[in-house]
Amino acid sequence: MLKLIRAGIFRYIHSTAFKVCSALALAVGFIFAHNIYKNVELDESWFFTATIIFASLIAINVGGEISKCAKNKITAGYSKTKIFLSELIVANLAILFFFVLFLLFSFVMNVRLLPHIPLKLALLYIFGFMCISVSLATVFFSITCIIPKKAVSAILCLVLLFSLYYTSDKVDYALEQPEFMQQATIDENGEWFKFEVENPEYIKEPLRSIYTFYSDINPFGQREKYETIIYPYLFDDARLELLRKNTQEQAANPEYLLEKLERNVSESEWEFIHRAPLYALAPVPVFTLAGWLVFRKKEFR
Amino acid sequence: MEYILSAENLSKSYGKFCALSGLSLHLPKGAIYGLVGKNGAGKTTFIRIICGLQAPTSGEYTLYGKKNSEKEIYVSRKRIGAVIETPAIYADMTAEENLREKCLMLGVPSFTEIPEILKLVGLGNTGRKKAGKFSLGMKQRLGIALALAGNPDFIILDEPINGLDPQGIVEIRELILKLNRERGISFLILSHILDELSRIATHYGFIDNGRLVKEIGKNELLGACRKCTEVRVSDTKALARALDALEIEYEIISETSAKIYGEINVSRLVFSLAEENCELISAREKNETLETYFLNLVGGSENA
Repeated sequence: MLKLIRAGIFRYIHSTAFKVCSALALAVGFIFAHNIYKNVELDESWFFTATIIFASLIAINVGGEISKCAKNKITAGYSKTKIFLSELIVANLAILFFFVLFLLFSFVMNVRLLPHIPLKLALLYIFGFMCISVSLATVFFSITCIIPKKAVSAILCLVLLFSLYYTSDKVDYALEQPEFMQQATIDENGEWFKFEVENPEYIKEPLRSIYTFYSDINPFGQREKYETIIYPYLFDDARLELLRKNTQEQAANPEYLLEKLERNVSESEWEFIHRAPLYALAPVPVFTLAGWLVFRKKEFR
Repeated sequence: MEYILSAENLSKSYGKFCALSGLSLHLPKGAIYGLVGKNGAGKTTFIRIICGLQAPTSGEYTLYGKKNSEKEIYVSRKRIGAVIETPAIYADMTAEENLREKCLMLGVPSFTEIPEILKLVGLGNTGRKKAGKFSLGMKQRLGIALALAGNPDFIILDEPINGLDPQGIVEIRELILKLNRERGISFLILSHILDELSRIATHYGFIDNGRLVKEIGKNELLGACRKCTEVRVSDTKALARALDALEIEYEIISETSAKIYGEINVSRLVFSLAEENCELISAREKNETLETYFLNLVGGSENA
C-alpha cells in the first residue's frame, strides 16, 4: 500500500487542483494571520473558506481518480480495499499539508503572541483543528466515493458544508438563550417591579443534550468553542487592555464579556479541549465504512 | 500447450442484459491473440473481467495458473499491462510524469526505463507538454507506454490503433511484433480493423453475443482463408484419385464436396474425372479474407 501512497502523493503534487488549493490555503492563512497581527476580531469566514478548499480538492482529485484512473491500479493487481485506504490516506495528508500552509503565516507574523499562549493549549488547539480537518477530509472523500458523478459529489459536499454552518449557527444561538428572562413592570404605587419569566426560546432537556451533542460534533460548533477559548490570547497586551476598557464603559452586560477577555482556561473548557478531538473524529469510522462498502462493490468501466 | 489465460463458461449480466454468456477462451503463452467481434459482442466486458474491473456473474478464469477466486490473482495481475477503451491518463501531467506515477505505483525502483519506453512508442520528444493537450493518437501511445511500464509479460490492448494515422498504425504494429519477438510478451488485442489484426495475430477468437464461436490458430485460419475452388462431385474418392494423378493439393470436406487449392485447368480436371466415372456437379471459386471468414462465422447476411 506504501507504493500506492507514494504514487498518490506524486499525483497530488503534480495536479493543478492541488497547486491552486495550496495557493488558496496560503492566501486564506495570510488573511487570518494578518487579522491577528492587526488585532482585528476574527470571524468564521476563514474557517468556511478553508473547508471549501478541502471539499474542492477532494472532489476534483478523488472524483477524477475514481471515475477514470482507479482502473490502472486494479489492473496492476491492487485490491479495492488497498486502493480505497491509500486514497483516503493521501487525501488526508493533502488536507494536513494545507493546514500547515494555513498556519505558516500565523506563526511567522504573530511570534510576539506565542509567549502569552500556554504551550498545552496551543498544542491541543492545533491538534483539535487537525482532527477537524481529517474528519472533514474523510467525510468529503467518502461522499466522493459513494456518488459516482464528480460534479454531483462536489455540489453535495458544498451543500453539506452550508448545512453544517447554518445548523451550527442556529443550534449555538438556541443553546445560548438564558432559561429565564428579566422583565419589569410599574406597580400601583408607581414603583418599578422586576421579576423573572421563563424564556420560551430556552431549550430544555432532553432536547438540550441532543443540541449540545450536535454542537460538539459539528466542526463549526467546535470552531466556535475553540475560538472562545483562544480569543483573549490572540491580542497583544495593549489591545486586550483597550478591549477591556471599552467593554467596561460601553457594554450592557460587562461582567459576562469581561470574563471572555480573561486569559485563563476554565475547567469545563479544558474538558472540552480534551474531548473535542474524539468528537471531531467520530464521523471518520462511520463515513470510512460507508465509503469502503460502496467502493468495494463498485464496477469500473 | 501452456496457457497464460483460460476462461471457462464466463458469464456477465447487467440486470436482464446478458453481456457474456458462457464464454470460454484459451490464450497460449507468447501468442498475439486477436479477439474479434461486433460492437456489443462482449469483448470489452470480457477484458474488464480479466483485469478485475468487474466481477463475473458466473464461470471462472485462470491467469498464470491462478483462479479468479484465489487471492493470488492479484499477484498474477501485476504481470499484466492493459489499455481498456480510452487510456486512463492524468491530463495535467506530462507523458514522463504519467509514467513516473505508474512506476511508483508498481514499485519500480528507478525511472531509467522511462525515456526508452517513451521513445519506443514515439513520445520521446513531448517534453513539458501536458497529456491533456495530446492528440487522440498521442494519448493512445501514452496508454500503451503506461501498459509497458513495469515490464509486464502480458499486455491487453483494446482497439490499440484507434485514432492513429497510417504511419502510427505501422509503428504500433511493429512495436507489438517487436515486443512479442524480442521480449516474449503475449498480447490480447481487441480490434475492429480485421485487416490490421490479420497482419500480427497468431491466434484468433471470434466472439458473438457474449459467446466465443470459434478459436483458431493463424495457420488454421490461413488454410481456411486460402484461395481455393470448392467443388461438388458425385464421388469424392474418384476425385481424390484424379487430383492425386494431377498432383493438385486438395481437401475432402464430405462425400460429395472438396476444396481444391491453387490454379486448376478445368478441362483437364473434367476429363480426368470422366475417366474415373465421376461427375462434376458444380465449381465455385472462394477467396476468403479474415473479414469474410468472420462474417460467415457470425452470420454474414446480417453483417454484410
